[in-house]
Amino acid sequence: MASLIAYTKKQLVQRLRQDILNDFPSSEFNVTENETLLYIDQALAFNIVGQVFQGAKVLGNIAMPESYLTTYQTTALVKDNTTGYWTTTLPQPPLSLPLGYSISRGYFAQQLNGVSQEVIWIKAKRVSRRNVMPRQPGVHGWVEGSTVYLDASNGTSLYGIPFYVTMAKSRTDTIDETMNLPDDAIELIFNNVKQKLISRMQMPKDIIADDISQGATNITNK
Amino acid sequence: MAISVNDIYMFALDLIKKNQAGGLKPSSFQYQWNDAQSSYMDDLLGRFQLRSNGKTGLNTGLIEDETILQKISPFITNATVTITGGNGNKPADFVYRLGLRINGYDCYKINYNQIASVNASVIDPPSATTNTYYFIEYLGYYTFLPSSVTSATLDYVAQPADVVWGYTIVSGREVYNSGTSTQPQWGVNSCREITKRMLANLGVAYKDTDFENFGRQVQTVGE
Repeated sequence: MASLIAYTKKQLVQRLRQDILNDFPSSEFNVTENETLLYIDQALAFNIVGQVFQGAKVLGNIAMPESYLTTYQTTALVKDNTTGYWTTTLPQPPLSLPLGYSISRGYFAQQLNGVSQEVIWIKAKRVSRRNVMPRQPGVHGWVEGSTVYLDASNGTSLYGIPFYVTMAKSRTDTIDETMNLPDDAIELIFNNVKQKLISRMQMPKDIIADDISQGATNITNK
Repeated sequence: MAISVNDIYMFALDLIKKNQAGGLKPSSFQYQWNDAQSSYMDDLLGRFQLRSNGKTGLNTGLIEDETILQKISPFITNATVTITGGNGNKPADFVYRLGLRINGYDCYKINYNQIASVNASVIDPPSATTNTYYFIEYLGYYTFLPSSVTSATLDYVAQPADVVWGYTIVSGREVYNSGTSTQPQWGVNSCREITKRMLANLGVAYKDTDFENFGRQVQTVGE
């Protein structure tokens, strides 16, 4: 069943702008949709991390709500000829959650062979230690920023194999995309952004930056 | 029912109890009434000097409430602005901009000292692809960003046409001729109010403080 109003990021952006202005925004409202979207993404990321840790406090175990997860096919794997590691780029740096929650899954998949065994995630700081330990068979992966490093335990080439990751998504690809979040999270995001925008709008503005307080000059607002 | 230029002329003569021949000539009436209608429109569009002149203060421009918009509605129109090399001329009868759109998307006004920042923006750079448009106002034209746009839709308040009390000479007298007249475009109530406001000017011409005070009172309280 389709909902009456499309739950997209754009809908949230427009709701916020209309709520703050108590009307349809005019072209004089200088907080643009893109800017509002950046505030939303910022609040969303903050909210995901907060929600996960808050959930851990209540339930005793850490858990990532599935609504935040998205599976991506990453860019083609590239081999670093110096190290022998294969690298690819994530759509965004993972959120500051423990590995396994910031990135939930990593696997290879092809029409011919289906889905591979899962990538074994290791913390970047453990790579050196793991290299001198007996290695569990499979592909090991670690993350630095938005770069993923992959290394097969038996040195198998990963050339041309599509790689997929499932991770919490806090950034927006297009403003018309469906909101990838549980509806109960909208409240906090909405309030967070609204508070920021209202406090910004209430700041006295010196349009011509002459350091003369507003009202002490006859140059009008635009 | 529309009110004619002759009706308001007669109303003016009646208000000041003067006659056409020596009291208020049609040509004087035209000068004064046209001045009064410009002043009336300026009042409707917002006279920030009368009120707070704070840079972000109150009441600094047109208050788009229903009453004011209804009164100026005979002059609210739109035009397609043709843009060449990033510049598009305002219409000749332009008075006040109400809205400016390109391809149905808002065109944002920026100040001159913001052009460089807007061009360097990574959040909302001027772009026809994302329908992000900006304009800056110069002389009688607008400069648009990005400069590749070719046309814009402008909603604006147009200048009221000057009224003309046209006449033909009959037995040596000027007799009203609707065929050669230019009628007022305002609504009936506004026409009457403008005529009364005109008395402030006539009071100066006649050195009559009663007229002047009455005209000022109408300008202040509308009655």
